[in-house]
Amino acid sequence: MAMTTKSPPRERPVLDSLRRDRRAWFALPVLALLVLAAATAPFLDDAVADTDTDNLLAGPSAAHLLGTDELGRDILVRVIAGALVTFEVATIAVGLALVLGTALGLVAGYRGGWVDSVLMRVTDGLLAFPLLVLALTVVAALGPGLRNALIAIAVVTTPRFARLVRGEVLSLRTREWVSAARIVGVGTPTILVRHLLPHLAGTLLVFAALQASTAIMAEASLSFLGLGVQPPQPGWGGMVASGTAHLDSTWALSVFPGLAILLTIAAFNLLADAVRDALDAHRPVLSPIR
Amino acid sequence: MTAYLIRRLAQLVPVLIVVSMVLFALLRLLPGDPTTEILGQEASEADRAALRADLGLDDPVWLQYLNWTGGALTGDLGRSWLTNEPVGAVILDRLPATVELGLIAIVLTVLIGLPAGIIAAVRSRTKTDAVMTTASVFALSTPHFYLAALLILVFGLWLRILPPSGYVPFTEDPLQNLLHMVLPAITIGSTIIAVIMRQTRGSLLAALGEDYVRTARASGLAQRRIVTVYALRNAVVPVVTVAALQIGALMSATVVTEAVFTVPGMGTLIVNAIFSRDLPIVQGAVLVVVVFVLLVNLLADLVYARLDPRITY
Repeated sequence: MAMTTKSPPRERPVLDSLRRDRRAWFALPVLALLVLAAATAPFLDDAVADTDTDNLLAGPSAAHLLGTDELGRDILVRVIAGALVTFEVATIAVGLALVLGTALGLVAGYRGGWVDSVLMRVTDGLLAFPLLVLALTVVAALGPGLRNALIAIAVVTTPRFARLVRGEVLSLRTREWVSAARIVGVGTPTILVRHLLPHLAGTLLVFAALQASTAIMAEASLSFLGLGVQPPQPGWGGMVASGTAHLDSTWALSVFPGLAILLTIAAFNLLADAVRDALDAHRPVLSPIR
Repeated sequence: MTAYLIRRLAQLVPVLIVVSMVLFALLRLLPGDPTTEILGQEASEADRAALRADLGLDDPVWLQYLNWTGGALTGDLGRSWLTNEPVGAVILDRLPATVELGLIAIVLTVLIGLPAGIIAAVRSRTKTDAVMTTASVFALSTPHFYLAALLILVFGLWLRILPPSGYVPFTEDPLQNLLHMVLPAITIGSTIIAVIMRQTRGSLLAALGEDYVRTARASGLAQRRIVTVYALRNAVVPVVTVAALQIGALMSATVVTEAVFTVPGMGTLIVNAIFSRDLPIVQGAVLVVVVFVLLVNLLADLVYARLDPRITY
């Protein structure tokens, strides 16, 4: 007697898991809002600089929904425009570290030998620095500014990706499909890109989301200290800093930009958790022998 | 154990070489002439040349590196470009405030993070657990400078029960010193408290699923005794390691937090030295911080061995 159970078509189990995950339902709208705000930032150039000199450090009103700062600039407009810097940190700085770190990790893990030894000793040395302390040191050498802050964050994040990818490659490179490719004469670059990289995609996605949250926190801290985004460009960290002088009168000046940072970082953290759990639940069993 | 200790200390050598090279290279990357920083724009070329020779800037780069690391090994980190004070003395002056902040943060972690993790594990899959786990995500997502601003706003300005910023040396007035340390210590501790809570919850839950816990339950032991005597002892071992790995994050937090609360510690020292382009201070202070982090991690590995009798070296 044949048991004919008709299961619903499930072609994308990972996406289905995510759809049922409350963390994803928090994270994705917040990140969509971040992208939207960053996209509108170029059109806000005039509004960002516009000073309402009759209303310095004003509270919320119909004209300025969140109030104004010490120069009479609209806080809401500047919070929206400030999303661009955070978006650049998550894409440019983390993207750079992802590409560089993955390339270094692939080569170190696959080649082994002295290349691996040298790269990993350098990685150990860089990872010995507390993240923000190394970023500060790099900015100390390059000078303050957003571009240098992005470089500093890429520098401190790259070894983290390199370490992760190298570890994964070490366990993958002895697998049968890699040996098979090597035996039939597939070149090393092709093996790295076609036979190893695809297996790292999920892990890298989760790790990149986590690193984005760390990177956003680091950039905001640098800018808060006055070493990242320079005025008058709006950035959330710098806005919180300028607000700390007026906490007793206009607390909105610090509180709202800070809230924007908090929600963005929480969104990246929760997205990473949700995607990791979804991937873990549906990880294909590649081979019973490890 | 001694052999293990020697092996671990030997492993630190390549790490420290890379760290010192990075710090040295970053200083040499700096555009411009350090003699301008020290003597000012108007100094004569002869004075500059004399100072360059004095600082060893005319030596080959490898010799400069060896001089710097050689000095560092004997405790001589050079002199401040700004005040000409020995860097080592400046650091010793700033160390107590940072160490005190770190210690209070760790005490808070043990008092809050550990019990919170135990409660969340014992009440797992209840509302209490959900609230605490969510709270820990947001604690991990809050930048320290932002938490600092919020704490100053609520406790310093609205409720007026704690000083909003500043620092009083312990030797001057112990009570005022502690009162000034409360908000910065909570700020710095927020991350590590959340991390320890999550780690304690996770490893206690794992321990509670073990066979020996089932046996203890079957023998009719009280839940309280099972948790505190049987499960917790095994659960706490990974917590120690995770706590030690957080020491780097703790130092990152300290840098920003000290700046917000104007605590004269290592963090404000580094940040102010960056602004005044006093690079010997940056180099020396960062080196001390990194060495400290490495030593704490080493210590944690040794404690790990003590806590878990299954580990032998």
